[in-house]
Amino acid sequence: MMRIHKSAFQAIIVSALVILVALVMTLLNLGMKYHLVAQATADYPSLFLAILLMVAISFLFGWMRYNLAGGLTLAIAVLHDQLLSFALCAIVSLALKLSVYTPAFLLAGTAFTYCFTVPWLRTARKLARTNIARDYTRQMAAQQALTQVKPLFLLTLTAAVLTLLVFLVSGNLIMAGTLLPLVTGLGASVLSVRLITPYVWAAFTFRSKTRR
Amino acid sequence: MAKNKKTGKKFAVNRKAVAALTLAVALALTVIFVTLGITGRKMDAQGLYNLLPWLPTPSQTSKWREALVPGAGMGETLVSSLSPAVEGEASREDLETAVRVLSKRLQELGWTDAVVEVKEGGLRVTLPQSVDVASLNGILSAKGEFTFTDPAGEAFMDGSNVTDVDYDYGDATGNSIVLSLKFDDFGKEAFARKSTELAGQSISLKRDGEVVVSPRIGEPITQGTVHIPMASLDMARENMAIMRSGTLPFAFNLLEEGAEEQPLMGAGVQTILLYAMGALFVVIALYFIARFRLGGLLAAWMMLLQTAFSWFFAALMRAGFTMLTLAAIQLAFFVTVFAFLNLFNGVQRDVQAGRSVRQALRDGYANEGHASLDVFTGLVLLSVAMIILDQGLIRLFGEVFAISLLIGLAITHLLLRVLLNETVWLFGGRTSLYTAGMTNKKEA
Repeated sequence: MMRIHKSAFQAIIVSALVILVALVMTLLNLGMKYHLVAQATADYPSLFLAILLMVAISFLFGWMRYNLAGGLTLAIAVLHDQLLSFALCAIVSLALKLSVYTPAFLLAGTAFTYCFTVPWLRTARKLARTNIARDYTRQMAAQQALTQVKPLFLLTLTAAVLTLLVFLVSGNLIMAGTLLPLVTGLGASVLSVRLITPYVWAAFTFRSKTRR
Repeated sequence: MAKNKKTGKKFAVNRKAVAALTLAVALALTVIFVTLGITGRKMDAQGLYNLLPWLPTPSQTSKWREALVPGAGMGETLVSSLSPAVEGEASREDLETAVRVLSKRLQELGWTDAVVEVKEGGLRVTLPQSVDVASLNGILSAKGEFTFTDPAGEAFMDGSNVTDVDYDYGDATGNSIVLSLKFDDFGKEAFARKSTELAGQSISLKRDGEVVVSPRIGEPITQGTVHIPMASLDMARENMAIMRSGTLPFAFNLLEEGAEEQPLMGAGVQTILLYAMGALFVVIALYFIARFRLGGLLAAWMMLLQTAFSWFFAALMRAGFTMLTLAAIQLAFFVTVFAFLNLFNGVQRDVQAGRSVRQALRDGYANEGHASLDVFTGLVLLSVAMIILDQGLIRLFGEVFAISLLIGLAITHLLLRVLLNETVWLFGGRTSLYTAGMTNKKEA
């Protein structure tokens, strides 16, 4: 039976609500506003197909590289981050209109997902493998891994913020709207790696807590 | 120390000299590469062949803008005004349809950074300054109604029966260009019937009533696919773009051609962005040097090389100086910075725990190095998926991103590792050389 940590569950609920609101807004033509009529070339079916493909590739890569739990964790992280990023773009685009590059930059947000999730995942697996105490659970490994990778996480986050700031200070609101998918992608990946992904991974092999 | 078995003589390999030579050669090659990237070079005395500079700089006299053509977002623009060739006023709905068609038309022609918008009852088209406005305006103002006619001029099918269109080389010499069309069921049947009827005669492809090409029918074409010879590559691209984007509700008249305006993303965006990118690089480099000393200096060197190579390949691929290219290169740079941070953090931790620099480096690559390897590999796989899946902007982004990631991967796991090892050989393994806040501990 899969039991997920309470805070992770709450974060997932919040994300799901945001995604639902954005979906309703988009269907009512209130969300996903583009500037300079870039919407003319927005191809949503191709975009969602690309997201599904990325989730599938992430799952297969994570499975082959780590194990089934790792593959599922990476896939869920990518799916959550992509959907939340898309949803945030739909909502925030009411203020900062999107550009023709939106689909490409939405998908590019997986760079942040990987840079934040992979180091944590590797550390958590190592902790779970090397700690032989009987009462040492995967959840403890997940939380300890979060603490261990925190310095790297903060430095990587700083580098990401600075990279985006370089663009934001250089241009006008059109530039800001163009970068919006990358900004939301960064935000979504920070949320998922700190609040969701570790507990999803910890929940996956709840049954086999003695076999790590 | 090696010993020659026959003569019994010993010869010594001066490892320090080898390390010094390796570092010197690598440094020299970097300096040459980066210098060429900034200045370019004349390849012959007459100036017929030039290696264009490829590293973007704020200099207005540099020719890098010929290698990396700025798009409408990043460079000066030309604005054309089009008015509908109809009596009375065109409806808002028709104008918005026209915007959609023309935006697709521009994208198909490779102008991803151009803009079309409704303005004062007509259309306003913003294009990069490098565009041949005169020829492009002709493509933009054309209605784009394709028909297939028999020798008598009677149309038997039209562009709506074409489901897919592309252009290709007709033979291995590259001199023959063909426009490949795939038809729907109606088109397949109509073309099969007409080509059988008119075997030995010609069928004309017309655009807006004007004949584009009239190829002779050699034998009946019944498979629903036809390859029509085109006079030139430009002609094939133009017709492909118009056919793919669809028909305009009406033709347009050109009111005003090519008025100069500022970049879409703001006046001076190019200069400010280049200075900001330079400042970011300096800040990151200084951080690495301050924290990881000699190792940090090497990291800064490798980051410069990664940037230079990324822009080199972007110029080779004619990616242009657009937000797409910039984002792809900067994101790959960010991933490389992450990889260096991960690696050097691990090395520093081991060194502070008492390990030798050499051992810490080995372990760093074995542990933290694998994390960055996973990130690079995973993202390259995703980029390849983007390239395969899409034909538009996602593909363009994926291409530049994948190349930049591969460069980062090679630099992180091959070049940096080699140079770090050589640095340890040359300068020794004193811990204070590789990490801040440590007292000197010599390597055994």
